Amino acid sequence: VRENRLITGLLLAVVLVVILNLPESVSGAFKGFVREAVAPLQDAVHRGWRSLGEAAASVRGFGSLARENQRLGSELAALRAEIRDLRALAAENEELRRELRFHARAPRQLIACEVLARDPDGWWQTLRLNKGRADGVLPNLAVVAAEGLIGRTVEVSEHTADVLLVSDPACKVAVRIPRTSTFGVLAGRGPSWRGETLCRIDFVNKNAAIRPGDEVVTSGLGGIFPKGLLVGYVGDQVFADRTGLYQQADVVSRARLGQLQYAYVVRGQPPANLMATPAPAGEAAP
Amino acid sequence: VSLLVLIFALLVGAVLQSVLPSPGWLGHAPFPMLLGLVLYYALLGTRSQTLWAALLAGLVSDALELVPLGYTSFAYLLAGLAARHFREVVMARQWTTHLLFGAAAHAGTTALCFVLLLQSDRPALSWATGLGRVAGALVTGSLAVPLVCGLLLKLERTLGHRPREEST
Repeated sequence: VRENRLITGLLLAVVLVVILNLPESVSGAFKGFVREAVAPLQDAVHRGWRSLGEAAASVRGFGSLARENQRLGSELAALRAEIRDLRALAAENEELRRELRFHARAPRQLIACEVLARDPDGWWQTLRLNKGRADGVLPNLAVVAAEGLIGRTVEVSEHTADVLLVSDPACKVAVRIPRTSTFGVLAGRGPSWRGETLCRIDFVNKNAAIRPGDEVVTSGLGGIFPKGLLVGYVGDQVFADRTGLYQQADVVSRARLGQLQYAYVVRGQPPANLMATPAPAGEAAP
Repeated sequence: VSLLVLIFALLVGAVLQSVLPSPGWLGHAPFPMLLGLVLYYALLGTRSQTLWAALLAGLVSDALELVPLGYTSFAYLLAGLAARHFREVVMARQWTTHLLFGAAAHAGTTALCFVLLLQSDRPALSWATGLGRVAGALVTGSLAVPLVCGLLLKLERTLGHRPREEST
């Protein structure tokens, strides 16, 4: 019996060592296989749960309004994102004309996705979307909602994609405050006890006169997030950092990350040097 | 039959674990359906069933998360073996046993995974995140594991795989 236990233990140890040292391509393929197998069930449960919510709303007499609201919300999200894209393009066009230089810039295309699961692992603040490689979603693409940027894709299978949310401390975004033309790095601070999205912008020029309510957008300098995506607004707290060399400010995201039903992946080509990394630590500093 | 039950339980457990909300005030600790499966076999099954369940449940759990493949299997194997070692010490097949084992095992596996993740190349985690999640794991583990064990026992009894006179 003792010999059997020893052999079993050794075999298990060998199996574990092999699993832990599998090449990224093999472990990625395995993860993709399991996610693909589970995704239809997740989707069914998610839809069932939503149907139950709608049924409850119908009982209360708001069923048709809830559906209409959902449809309009989805449409509004796409339109707002489109307007923001157009504004960014217009500003860029003006700048290029001024400098008498021109370079082609492809218009931003969005891939509409439904949220399959929230915080599927809980270690990081993530969402799982119902679109994957088959629909053109790749790792390290920006993900937006009607209210602005919500994160970036990290692990992508054939029909699912995991999104690391901006509220996660591991998600760093190079940002800009347009009113003062100030740059900084935004990082999440995790959820508050009340479930609010907390972010903080760091490395802001200490002489910049930023104030609560200032709009914060992506600067496009990190390579992952396109320029001009709305991230949020400067909150009440603006203060010098410990060194006194920079300012820090709280940023309030308008996106209700815990209640999202739809999200839009910004179609594009992710940076080549990040393609092979499933979950890099964050975006480059501004 | 037991293999089919294991596969069925793995599938249902994986879906439930990924779909059930993990509240922020519990440190986003998920309800550990897959760990419940491992503890069920550790407390009521054979040694090989425990090891298989731990290995497969860990792999499925890791596949659905951003965690590198194998971390959770390692943690579940340790939890399963520890539960088997101590299963005669406390009152086996009592819901209180499942509750205690669930809380301890989920907190232990969460703490172990946190330490492993700190050493990995994954996005950085803060100590506050880890401690909050371990504390939350005590609660979610004590709630989910008795439920999973009870349901699996009922399923196996219905299938005639386990005698009906066994009490929980």
